[in-house]
Amino acid sequence: MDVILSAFSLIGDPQVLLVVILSAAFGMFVGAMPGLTATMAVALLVPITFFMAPVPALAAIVTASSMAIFAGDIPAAMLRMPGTPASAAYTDESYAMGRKGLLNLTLGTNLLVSVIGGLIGVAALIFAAPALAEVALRFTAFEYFWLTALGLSCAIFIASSDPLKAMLSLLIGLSLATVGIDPTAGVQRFTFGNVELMGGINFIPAMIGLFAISEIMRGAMRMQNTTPDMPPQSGPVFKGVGKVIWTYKKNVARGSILGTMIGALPGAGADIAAWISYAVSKRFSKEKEKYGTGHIEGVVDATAANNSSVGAAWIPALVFGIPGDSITAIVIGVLYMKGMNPGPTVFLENPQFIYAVFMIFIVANLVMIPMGWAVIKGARPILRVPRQVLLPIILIFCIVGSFAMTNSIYGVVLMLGFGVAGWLLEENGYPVAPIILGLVLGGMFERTFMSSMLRTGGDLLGFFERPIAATLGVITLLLWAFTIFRALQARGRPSAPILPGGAG
Amino acid sequence: MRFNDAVLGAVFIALALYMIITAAGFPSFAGQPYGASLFPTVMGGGFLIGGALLVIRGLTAAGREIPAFTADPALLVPRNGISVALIVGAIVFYVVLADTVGFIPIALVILLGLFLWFRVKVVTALLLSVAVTALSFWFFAIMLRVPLPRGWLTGIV
Repeated sequence: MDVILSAFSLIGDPQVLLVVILSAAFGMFVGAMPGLTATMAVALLVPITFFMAPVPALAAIVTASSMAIFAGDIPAAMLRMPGTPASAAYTDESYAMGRKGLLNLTLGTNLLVSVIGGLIGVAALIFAAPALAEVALRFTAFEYFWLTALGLSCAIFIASSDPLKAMLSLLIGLSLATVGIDPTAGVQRFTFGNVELMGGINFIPAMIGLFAISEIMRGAMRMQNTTPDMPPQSGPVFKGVGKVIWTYKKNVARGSILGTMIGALPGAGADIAAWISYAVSKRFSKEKEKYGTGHIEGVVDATAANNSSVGAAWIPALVFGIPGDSITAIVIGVLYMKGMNPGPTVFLENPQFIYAVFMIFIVANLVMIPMGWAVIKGARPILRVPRQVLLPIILIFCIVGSFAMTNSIYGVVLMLGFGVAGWLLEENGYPVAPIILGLVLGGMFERTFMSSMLRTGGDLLGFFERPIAATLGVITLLLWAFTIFRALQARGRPSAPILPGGAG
Repeated sequence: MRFNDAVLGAVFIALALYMIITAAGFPSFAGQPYGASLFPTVMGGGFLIGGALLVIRGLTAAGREIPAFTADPALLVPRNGISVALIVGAIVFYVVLADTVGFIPIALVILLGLFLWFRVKVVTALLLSVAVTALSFWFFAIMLRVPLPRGWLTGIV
């Protein structure tokens, strides 16, 4: 009880509440702008959170990411452009609804169902995380090694259409994580005698480069000066929404549960959750023929799923230090910077922080209702902010933010390198999210690998001696075997990607 | 800018060889057959296999028809190509000159230059450049105490 009270006093601080309101507004704006993703919202926030105490820092990230995932639905319905990749699955559907004059019904449903889905994801986080942490306390390097391996494997096999390219992206991230002083022996690796490189690759400028600079470059490449045409909007936002939710209550539940499960899976995030639950919804619907013509049913499933995955992605992040998606990969980096190393011991040493995170999630989802309503009402002027004004401003924020992370030009150089590389890689079909996962998890992956090797004396069979480790190991190997089998089977046939885009 | 898989495959193989050869020079733990070099070597091995698979993919079947290098059609429109170059150029400009000239003049030049290139109205561009520069300097350098380079304005701000 004491813990919950102290958590309350942590988030009851007016400063924290102010941070929640400001980052909610920021998340709504970034999410609603097509081309600016939820990951980018978080990437741009991190340099600022760096200067905050842990609780407001986490509050800013939680709030901004929840808002951005919902706000992505707005331009999807109004402009047929998803504000974030997580809304892409049902963009055509909700745009078709807007054309039928049902714009407010779509957006109102998106908002309220997002809130319900978000709260279900948080409930899963609140109940599952402490229980899992109890189990995780008994984990040794072997379990962590396999858990990391499984998480990274999921990221390349489940979350991408081209496992080979995703694997190479991941290897880039893992290799970059080796730059600097080696964690086990203290040897300098790949530093070229450079003092800055000895400290390793700072992941924040790297991430700003990969997620923001490359996006600015793509934006500059496709600059257009026309103001888009938007369908008419009139009447109250929530009219008829209650009836939709009641009619499709099973879809709300199914989408939320599916989203929670996919979110909790390391490596897969909100966009995959939305694609899969939209597909599941269509598969089991009694009115399949209406899908794609402006029918709300699939939207209900998918919009619940993408928001529920936001909270659920924190389960593996907090308990094991393994991110559920690219946003939680950033969260893990922030936790390390704040000296709160994620893992089961945080639940023992700093339980008030964990409870504070839970409460912030609940607050953020509730704040979403009035904020979302305001953004839906004010969407027209927001969507008219021209790209040509926005891009240079974001560029300056990126430069200052990266500089602030190293207090030197080195941060800006890193950002530039990662930005150009990320742009080139994405142009060639390489997903960038695995690079960040590799960079954040590389240290832990190598540490657990090396200490497992030292314990077994180099005997790889020793990695399977403990029951949980063996189970995780077998699942990981089966995942690899299945992917290789499928790749061999598909040889010669034209390749058909299942899911567009990467994790994130 | 798109490359045939074989081209990037070759790049990955070169990277793999570099990593494996460099890692071979890392000292190992006392009395152990492996050490700091093990993980980078395993990663290098991964690049080697992945790179080889890419080369095979690029040289066989459908991959053979893809040229070694193709530019994105959007990039070939001169205006767009210059826009992308200007974004990269702006960051390079900052990296090279920030320490001597200082954050404020450089940010002003970058913002104003990009706004005008993107055809924002002159008055709007001027006002926004000044406002964004002032706001970001105030927030980061004064509120958060980030040592943004003062350059020419040392002693003034």
